[in-house]
Amino acid sequence: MWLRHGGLLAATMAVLSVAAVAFGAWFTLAHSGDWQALLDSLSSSGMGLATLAVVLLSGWLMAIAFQQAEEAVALFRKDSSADAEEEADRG
Amino acid sequence: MVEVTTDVTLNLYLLAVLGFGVGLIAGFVGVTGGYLITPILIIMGMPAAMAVGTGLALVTANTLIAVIRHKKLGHLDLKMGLITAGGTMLGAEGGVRLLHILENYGQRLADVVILGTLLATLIFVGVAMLREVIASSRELANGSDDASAAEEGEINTAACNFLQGLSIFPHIRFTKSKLRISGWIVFALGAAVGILSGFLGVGGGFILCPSLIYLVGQSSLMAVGTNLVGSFVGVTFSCFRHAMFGNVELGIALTMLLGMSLGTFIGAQGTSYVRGLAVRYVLAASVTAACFGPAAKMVYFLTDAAVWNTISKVVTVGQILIPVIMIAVLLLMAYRHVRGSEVPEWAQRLMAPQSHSAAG
Repeated sequence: MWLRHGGLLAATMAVLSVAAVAFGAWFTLAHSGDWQALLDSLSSSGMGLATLAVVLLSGWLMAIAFQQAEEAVALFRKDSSADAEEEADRG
Repeated sequence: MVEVTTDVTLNLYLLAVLGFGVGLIAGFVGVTGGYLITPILIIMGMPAAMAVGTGLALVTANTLIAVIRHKKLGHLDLKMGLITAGGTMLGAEGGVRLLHILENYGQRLADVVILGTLLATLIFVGVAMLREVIASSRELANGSDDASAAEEGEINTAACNFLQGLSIFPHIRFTKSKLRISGWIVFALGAAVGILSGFLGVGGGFILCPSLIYLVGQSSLMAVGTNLVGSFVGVTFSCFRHAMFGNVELGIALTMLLGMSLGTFIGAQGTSYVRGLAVRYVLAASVTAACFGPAAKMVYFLTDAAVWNTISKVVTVGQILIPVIMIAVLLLMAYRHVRGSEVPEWAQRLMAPQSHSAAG
């Protein structure tokens, strides 16, 4: 039921969004030299804009992860209570 | 471990865990958590300007998450939010310039002034909140009508009556907030928060939100959403300005964001089980506890005694642990209450009406 109502899709979207931010964190730490060289090649405004773009993109991705995780949890609760009602009816 | 400067390395796992703790508090009490993040980064050894820039990046991302969430819930007064935002941007530019002027006089002076200003603001706000929460708690225990009105967010102070009565052009009607007040007053509030945002690297929600409730006369729910619009514009602009100076350590900000978002998610879910008073208790405790870390660090800066540096690190972890433990206890009590198990009388008073009915 949870699968059919989009619960798995919502959970997958949430995990993928978090994974994208985790990848960003890993990349900027593991390749900090490359990232710094890229920023240094830009003007100070470009440097500010590039950093801000990454920050806002990460925030937006985490907001998506939030919404999808809540949806997945809500669907799971809905399905659990529907299953419990069905069991009670049978009983 | 990640190397920030040649002599400072930070433990990423510890930062992610601290981020989770801050997120839990921020999600529960509805603030962006900047007032906790910046001192943590400074106390962990990051240079003040970099701590402010990195903290702002984290707060910007977390505020965006909160704005999207509140827009969905319909708790946004966009007109008031944008006027506040105008003031915040102007103030933020002033704050960033002030910080760089100060840095020209020496890093140590900048550290002391930033910590000192943060400390003074936290003590002022913390004491004011504690007084209000204790008064509300007494009124709730006595079953006063004022307490239930305050619980619904209808707080009518002498200050907000006075400010709403000031006829300074333009006197604007904010239909969504159901009030009329001079645009300049809202703008000035935003500017004051903007200066703090640019100078201290805090979102300013812990000042703007109570100001909108107690000075402007907005309801608690609308104030949270409106304050977030103003804060978002302010912190985004401050973050951009700090990034221009290379003050943002992106890897650390994103690592902490992962922990913080998870904490915010759990904290925000928890608010549906408790009363507004419980949330204000945690906020007041969190702001008050946040004074001790910067105070210990300040003593270290002034005396150069290494023991105070160690104390400040221990206290910083403690200042996050106290509200986290409070939230955990409240959620445990709410869970027991919903399940129909026995809970102490003090906890029953702090549970949300729906959890009462669920228990019944």
